[in-house]
Amino acid sequence: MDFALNDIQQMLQDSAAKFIQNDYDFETRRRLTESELGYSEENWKLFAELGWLALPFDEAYGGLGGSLTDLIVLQTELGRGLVVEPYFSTVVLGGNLIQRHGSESQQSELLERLIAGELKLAFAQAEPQCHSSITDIETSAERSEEGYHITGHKAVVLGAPSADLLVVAARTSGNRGDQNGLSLFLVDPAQPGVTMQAYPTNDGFRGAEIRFDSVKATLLGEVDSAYDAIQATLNDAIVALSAEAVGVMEKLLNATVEFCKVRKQFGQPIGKFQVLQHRMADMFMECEQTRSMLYFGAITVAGGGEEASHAASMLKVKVGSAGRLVGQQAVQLHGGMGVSDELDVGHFFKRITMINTLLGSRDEHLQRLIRNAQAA
Amino acid sequence: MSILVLAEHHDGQLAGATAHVVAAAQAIQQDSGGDIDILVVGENVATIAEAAAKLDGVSKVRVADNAVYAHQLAEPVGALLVELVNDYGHILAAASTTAKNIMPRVAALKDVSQISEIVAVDAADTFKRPIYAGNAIATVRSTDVLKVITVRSTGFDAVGTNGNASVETVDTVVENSQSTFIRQELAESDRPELAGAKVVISGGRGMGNGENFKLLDGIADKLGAAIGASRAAVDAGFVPNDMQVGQTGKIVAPELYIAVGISGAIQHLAGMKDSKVIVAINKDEEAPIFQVADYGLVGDLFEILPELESRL
Amino acid sequence: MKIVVCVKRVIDYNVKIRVKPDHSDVDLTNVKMAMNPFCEIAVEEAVRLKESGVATEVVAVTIGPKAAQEQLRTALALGADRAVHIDTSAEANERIESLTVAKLLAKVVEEEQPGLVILGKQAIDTDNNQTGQMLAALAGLPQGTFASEVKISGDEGDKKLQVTREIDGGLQTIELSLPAIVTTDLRLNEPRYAKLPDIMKAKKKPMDVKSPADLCIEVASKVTLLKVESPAERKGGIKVGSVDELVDKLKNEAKVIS
Repeated sequence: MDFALNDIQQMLQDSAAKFIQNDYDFETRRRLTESELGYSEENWKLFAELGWLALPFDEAYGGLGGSLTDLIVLQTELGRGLVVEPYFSTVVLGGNLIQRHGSESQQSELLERLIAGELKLAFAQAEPQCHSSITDIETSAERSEEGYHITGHKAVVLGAPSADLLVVAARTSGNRGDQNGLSLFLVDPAQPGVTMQAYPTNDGFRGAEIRFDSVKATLLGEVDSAYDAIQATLNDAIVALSAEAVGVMEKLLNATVEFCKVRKQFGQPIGKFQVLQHRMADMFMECEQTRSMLYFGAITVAGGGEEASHAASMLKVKVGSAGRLVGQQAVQLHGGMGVSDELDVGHFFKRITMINTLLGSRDEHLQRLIRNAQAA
Repeated sequence: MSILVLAEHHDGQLAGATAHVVAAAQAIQQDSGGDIDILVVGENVATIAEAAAKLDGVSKVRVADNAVYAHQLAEPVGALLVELVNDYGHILAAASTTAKNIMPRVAALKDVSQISEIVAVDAADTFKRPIYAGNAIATVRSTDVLKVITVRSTGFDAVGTNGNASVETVDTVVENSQSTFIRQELAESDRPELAGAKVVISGGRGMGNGENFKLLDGIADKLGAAIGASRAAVDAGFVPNDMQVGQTGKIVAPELYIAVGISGAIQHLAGMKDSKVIVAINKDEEAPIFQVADYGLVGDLFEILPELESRL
Repeated sequence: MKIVVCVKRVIDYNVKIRVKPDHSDVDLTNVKMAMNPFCEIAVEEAVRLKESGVATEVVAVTIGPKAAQEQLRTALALGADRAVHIDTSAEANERIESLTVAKLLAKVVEEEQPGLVILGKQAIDTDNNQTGQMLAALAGLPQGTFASEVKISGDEGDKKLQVTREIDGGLQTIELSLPAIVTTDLRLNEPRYAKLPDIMKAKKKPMDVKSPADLCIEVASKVTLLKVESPAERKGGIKVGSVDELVDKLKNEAKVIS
């Protein structure tokens, strides 16, 4: 199998890497995370100009028809740069849901605005009790003459503070735990009834707890049938997030190797001590295996079907374990500096740690795989 | 065959670099034999020719003095050199922007290669030159009948000025309808030229702004130093480009190089790592510059500079 | 007016190179390659001149192995209209001297008849700073080297090129007749990032492949690379604790100040 990047992917990688190198150094990123907005609108406009917002969407709506593999090339660079602009929440989560489940006219209108850089989205799905289950949703939508109204409580909604529209998963029929009866809604967060408690996340992003109190909502696509779209979007998202993780892990590995060549203690660069070399070799192997797993995940998830969810879970398990090892070793080998705020290593460590908790942790996915294996 | 050296000059003065190029010529002469001639090209260059005639080891100074050679534009000077170079086996010039502009034209028109920025002469046909921003040194041999060479001054010790060469006029005048000089903005300074200074103090991005470069003045005055800058400082608009030391700026090798608020990117190191003694002042203990510095002082440059000035 | 812009595939400027143990050359195995930074600036200037209406077409040229087509695709993605690859894969010697490059480019210039040719001032591998000047001489054209600003002025039929150049003492401005050769210095412009839609369209833009033989140029050289060495290592230094200590060391140990 040939895993070399094609021309287009190579140029995409080069231009993304160049952007990070020239305009997104560690200090710049730090200033962004400490700013009020938490990211740069100018960067967002640049992403629109560069076509990055259009990458995975259908050409019919102004997208570039890129594949999941194309997306992971960009996501890996965004991981390397610890980019905090709300690309994941808007493009990978929100936009994908619209593309998979929205009506023709909704896709046309909303994706066009998103691609032009004029629409940011956040996916409000997880709830305090659901432990990353798609179906364990209590937020409900009531239908009346005036349309739908949503009531419920969503937790850790990534990108919510800057979102123009929230894409909300709510139950329209059936019981808690049923696959059928789940729907997606578009909610304007500025409306009455929406209480948003925004906060910065540990890894430099922004999120929010959101309470909906009979909030006016627009149905996205068909009612009761959103489960498949949500499942597929989350699988894609796991792959995309894992690509970011691979970028983060490779940066941690490289930074650690370079540091150990330079840091002298006990009379020599610490990288010459065999035991530390073992640790770095372990880190390297974890990075390589995760990368292989990523390619496997991307190909299998793109194929859809049952295998997709299975592969996504396996990938997430690997990212969780490998990320933890690589992150912790990097911190250890950097000594006390590894947890300081001034050094980038600590920030990469926080990101890889957070990635484990997003879209289901390693343990949650392992449980899922065990349950599936037992049910088979 | 003899060796021709193109004199480097500006502002009516013979540049110090020329004496270093003559030294390189002497190294070649040891192997090839022949005489060393200097060619002075420009307008109103009589005093320059006189100064050139005083350089040790020079047989003859040839002078081409005409309005068409004013400002040493590449097209006419290149054309002139092509006419004059037939009697020589080597033509050398300093690796200055003037000569770098002119010499490749000569080489191409004579259908020979050029060997740029040599730092050592191994034989009349074998030279050492830096590649990859000075991170490697290449030894090359040329079998071209004419060797066109530019010389990095810092690689050769200048010859003395006890010579007494003859001076002769070169009447050749060429036409130039392709290029015209419009204007020049040169930095006015009492300080020594960066390229040849014995002491250089450079400021980097850590200086914060152009105003702060004044903090280097007092020290430069006391040490008789030239003031340089890193590319970051130039790009940020702190100081003009002619102060840039680095791979694509000036290459310097003074007795003492003081790097203030400079991190030490490879490209900057390429411009100063052959300095005899390097001092680095930076608040970041891990800055790469400390790896090449003989003496490193970690601290706030805004505190250190005034203190250093008062101690000198 | 047509602009020809010449680009070179070199090591990425972040790469720390290593000399091969046998000293035959620098070790380039698995090293990241990229477009020479000065060439990126050249492409950017050419594209800007097209965007401002001064130029009608930008043709990107490279001389190098098959892989160099990557750099041509990048130039196309950045706004060039057409590309020409002079393929040197079949040549016995990988290293092509500047003089040969200039001769090949002179043939391309003869065929393309551009109003302006833009090149980077030097390649960061060889650091020669020769090709643009040699090309100008072979083509009988004037040159504006180390350009930090380029301006076309004058009326139709009498257009001139003003070039401001970075020289040792400061800046020099000269005026050249067209066609002319320009080599770029660092501060001429800031290259743009390639946009994804343009990256995808780049595949469809025309690329001609020729060999040096097609241009009737023999790739030969009278210069041989004998060996490559690392520069002499500097001995490690020390950190001093105060200004007083520094001055003391400079006076009494290094003896570089009095």
